[in-house]
Amino acid sequence: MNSSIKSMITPYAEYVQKQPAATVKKPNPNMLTAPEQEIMKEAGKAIKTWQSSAEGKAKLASMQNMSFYEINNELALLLQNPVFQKTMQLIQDHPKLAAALQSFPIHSVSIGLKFEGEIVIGLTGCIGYAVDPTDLTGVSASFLSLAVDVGVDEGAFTGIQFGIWEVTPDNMNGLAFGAEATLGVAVGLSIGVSTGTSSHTLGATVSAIAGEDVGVEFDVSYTFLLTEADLGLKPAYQFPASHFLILDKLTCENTKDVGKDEVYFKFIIDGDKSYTYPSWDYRSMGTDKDDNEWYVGRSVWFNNKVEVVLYDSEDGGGDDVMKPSDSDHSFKFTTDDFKSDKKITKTMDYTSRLNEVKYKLSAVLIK
Amino acid sequence: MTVKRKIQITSISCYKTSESGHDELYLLCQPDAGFVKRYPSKLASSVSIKKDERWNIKDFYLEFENEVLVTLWDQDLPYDPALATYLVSYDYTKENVDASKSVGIKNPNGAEYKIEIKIIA
Repeated sequence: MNSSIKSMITPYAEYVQKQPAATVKKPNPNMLTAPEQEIMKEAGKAIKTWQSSAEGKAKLASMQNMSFYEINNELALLLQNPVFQKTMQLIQDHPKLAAALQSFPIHSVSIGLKFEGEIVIGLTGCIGYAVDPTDLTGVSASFLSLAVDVGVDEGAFTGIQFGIWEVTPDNMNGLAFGAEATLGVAVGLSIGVSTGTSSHTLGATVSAIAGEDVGVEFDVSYTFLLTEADLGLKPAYQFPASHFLILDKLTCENTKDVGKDEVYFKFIIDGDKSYTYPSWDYRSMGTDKDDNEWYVGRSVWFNNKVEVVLYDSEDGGGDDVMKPSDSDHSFKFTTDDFKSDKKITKTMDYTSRLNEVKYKLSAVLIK
Repeated sequence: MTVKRKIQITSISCYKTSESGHDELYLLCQPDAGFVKRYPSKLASSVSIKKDERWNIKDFYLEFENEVLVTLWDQDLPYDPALATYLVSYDYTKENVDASKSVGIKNPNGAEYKIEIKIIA
C-alpha cells in the first residue's frame, strides 16, 4: 500500500480506534435467500476469475501504487467488465423475485479493494466505489470501510470485495455489524452480511479467500464517504473536545501587500493537530468595503487553546506567513479569553518592511 | 438529549461566476466539524452553472447539533482538488438557521451566490 493511501486512511483509523465498543444487534448469518446467495456466489466466481486472469493480476499489482482517484476509476470500470455481467443481470432481476425471496431491495452495488493491517494493526478495511445498479453512470459514492479485527497482521491489499446494499450510495456512511462466513475451503469464498445500525439497512459482501474455514466471524465496521478533502490529504474531521468555538469574522484593516492579500489560514488545536481553511485556494482581502470582511464560520473543537496563523498566498508557492516576528501565531484564543464574554475579537497589528499589517479575528464560544 | 437541527439545501442560485462562463460547482459541507459530506456525492463530479441560473436540489439533507459549514467550490480540473476555487461559504448555526432560509454571499473573486434551505427540524 502506498503512502498517499496510508495518509488518507490514518485519520479514519484513529477515529475507529477511539470509538467505544459498539453494542449493536448481530445480523442473522443465514439471512440471504437462495437467489441472493446465487448473486453472491456468481460475484465471487467473477472475482476469482478476474483475480486469476493475466489482466486482473497486472491490474491488482499496479493498483498498489495508484492514488485513490486512480483506484476509484479502476474499480468503477471493473464493475462494467464482462466478468461481472451475469452478476449484474441477477441483480437487475432481483426486484422481480417474490417478496419472500428478497431480504432487502438492492439500491447499491459496491466494488472495493480490501486491505489488512499496516495502517493500524488490528484493522481491516476496504476502499471502494458504490453505484446504483440500475444506472452505472448515476448516483455514486466513494467510501472507506474499516473494521476492528484483532487477528490480522499483514499489511497489504488482499483482493476485490463485491457488495450489495439496501442503502443508496450517498447514504452508505455509518456503523454496521457484520457476520462473515467461509463458504467451504473448496469454494474459496467468504460471504458476509451486515446490518447498518444508523439506518437499519442490510447488506452483503463477497470476496475470495485462500486458507482454512474459520466458521462465522462477527465484526463491527465503520463506513465513511470520501470527499476531495480526503483525496487532497487535507484532513477536515476534528475529534470532539471539551469546548467548541466558531472563528466568526476576519477583518482586514491594513494589508501586507500593496493591493490585496490572498488570505487563507491554518488553525492549530491545543498545540497539536493543524488544519487549513479553506482547504485550498484563498480569499482576497483588502480594505474596501466589499473585501475587508470575511465571514469565515470555521468551527473548532478544542480543550485549551486555538492558534490561528494567517497566510498570504503567492503565485508559484512560497506563501508568506502573516504574524509578528516575535510570535508563532497571528491570533490565539484560550478558554480564559471567554470567561466574561462569549464573543471576543483579537487584533494582530505589526510592521512588515515599514508597512503596518492589521487584521482582526472574532470568535464565538459555543460551549 | 441533544436536539439536532436538520436542513435541506433546496437550491443554489448563481448571480455571478468566479470566472468567465461557467463555474463547475460542488458542495462540501461539514456538520459540527465532523465528517464532510459532498454534493453531488460522486467524487470529482460537479454541476455547470452560469450567471442567472438556479440549481434545484431535491435530496440533500444536513443534520447538526451546533452548526454546519457549507462551502461552494468551483472544480477547475477534476481529480486535482488543489486546483479548486473557493467560491463562498455560509455557517448555519442553531442561532441563525431560522433566519437563514435564503442567504446571498459574495467573494471578491467575483462569485456571487444565493443558497436556499428548508428547515426540516
